Amino acid sequence: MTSGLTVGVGAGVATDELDRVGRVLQTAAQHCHEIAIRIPPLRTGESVGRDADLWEVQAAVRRSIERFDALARGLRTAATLYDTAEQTAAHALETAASQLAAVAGLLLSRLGVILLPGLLAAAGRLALVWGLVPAEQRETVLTAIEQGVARLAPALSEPTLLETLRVAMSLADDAALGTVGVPPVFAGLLGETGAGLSGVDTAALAVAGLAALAGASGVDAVRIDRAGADLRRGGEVRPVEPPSSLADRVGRIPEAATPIVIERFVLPDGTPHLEVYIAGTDAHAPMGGDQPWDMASNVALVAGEDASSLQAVRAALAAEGVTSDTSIVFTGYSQGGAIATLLAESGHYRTTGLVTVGAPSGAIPVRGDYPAVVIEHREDLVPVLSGIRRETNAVVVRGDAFDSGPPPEGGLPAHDLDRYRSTASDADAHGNATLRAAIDSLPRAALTGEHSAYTATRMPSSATTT
Amino acid sequence: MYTSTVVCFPGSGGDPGGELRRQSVLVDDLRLRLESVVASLPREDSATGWFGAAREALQGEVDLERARLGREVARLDGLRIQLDHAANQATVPGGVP
Repeated sequence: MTSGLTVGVGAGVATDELDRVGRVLQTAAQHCHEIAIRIPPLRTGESVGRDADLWEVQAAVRRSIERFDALARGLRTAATLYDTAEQTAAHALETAASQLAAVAGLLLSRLGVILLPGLLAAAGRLALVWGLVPAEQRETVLTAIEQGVARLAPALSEPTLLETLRVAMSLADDAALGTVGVPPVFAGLLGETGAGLSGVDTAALAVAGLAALAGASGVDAVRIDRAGADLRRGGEVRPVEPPSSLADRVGRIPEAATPIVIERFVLPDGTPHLEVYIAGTDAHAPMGGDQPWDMASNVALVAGEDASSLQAVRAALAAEGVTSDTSIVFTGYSQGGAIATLLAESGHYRTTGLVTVGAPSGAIPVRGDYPAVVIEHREDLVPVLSGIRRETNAVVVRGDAFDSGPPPEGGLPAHDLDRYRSTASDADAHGNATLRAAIDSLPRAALTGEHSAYTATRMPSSATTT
Repeated sequence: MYTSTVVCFPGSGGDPGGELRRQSVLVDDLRLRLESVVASLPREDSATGWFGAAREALQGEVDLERARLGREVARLDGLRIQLDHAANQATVPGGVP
């Protein structure tokens, strides 16, 4: 099902059609060249007419080779220009939209001042009435609300709605600036399209601050332990074969109960090499509890804070004795993808590859000189939460999570890790030259390595960090 | 290796008819290869995610090349027929097939 994939570098522009036609023409030029070099031996001098015909054929084929080469070159240039033009246009649109958002915020805040007394009175009456409603009827009302929310779930898998939401997430900070009275033109200058002083991370920081006030801190210290039966020897280490593809890497991403897996290999040139796999958010973990892979860490990550889950992976890498020479490929799913991107870009490690699936990492720039592949489903809400994708060298692969028809039941079915594994398999088989170059550039160990897994536990702020 | 009047490639055993037939096979092979190149060129209805003036201009260029190579396919087919005919004349005594 590779036809549903679009591949682009940077903002995720679909240049694969240009790429495909370019490859077809390049192949045609190559085949024509093979034909042209086989014609001269056929000119025997026996018949002037036949030789003249063969000259004609050879000349025509050579002209076609030149045209196909030129067209393929032109298509490659066009693909680059499309990328640049689309990014410029998107930037201009976003600047205009951020100013409009600030105007809306300003108007709503003024309206709020006027309506606030009335709203407070209405809320008071509602609370009074709610208190008078019998318990059974309250249960019925709550069930109806739950059913209403469940009916909204399929809408959260609509690609068009999600793209709108992606833009809305990026404009949330501009609206907030407008609300506190910053003039719209300055809101645009301060936001992502201007000086970058506010953005999705600012909005997330505000949410993280509110969560911390409510007692759910996503930045508390963590303790890590190597998982496995043989705890006296510091956990279990077992042999493992090196990963062979994107799908193989995605398939090795662990569950949130053991959120970090590290595989240790030696590259053919003798360099130590680690493959680090980081789990996604534990949907059932209470916010700010002892499971660091919770929503509190998620919000802290998007806010650019030192989330507990991020600390845990850093601690696991330290426990593995990583040095500046150790080559590392980071692979992460969802929250794990955001952690992988942050660590890959931290400058503290020798990153040699990055693979993320369904990660809210759009606000984290990817500028490093290493192969990076970002896989997203068009129907997945989670990548949308980090807003419009910023500066990135990563190859962005966007695919359909579902074949056709209505999305399956359940919360966020497009965010399912198994579906991402299937899309990664499609990406492995895709012919896009940029994607192929990125996949082929990922380090390949030849020999069997060692597999370790780590558990992580969030500790109170006063406890010691491992 | 070659003479000016009768062409005998190595291994032809001095049989001009057989050699002409061998050339005919080679020419036919080239014709089939060129035909498959022509068939592989993108057609107007093959575009799935790219439309507009630039796409149409590219299609125009590709169609020109398709026509050019199509003519050469026909020319190679004519050559093959000529070679087959010449081979038959060379094999049959008296030059009558």
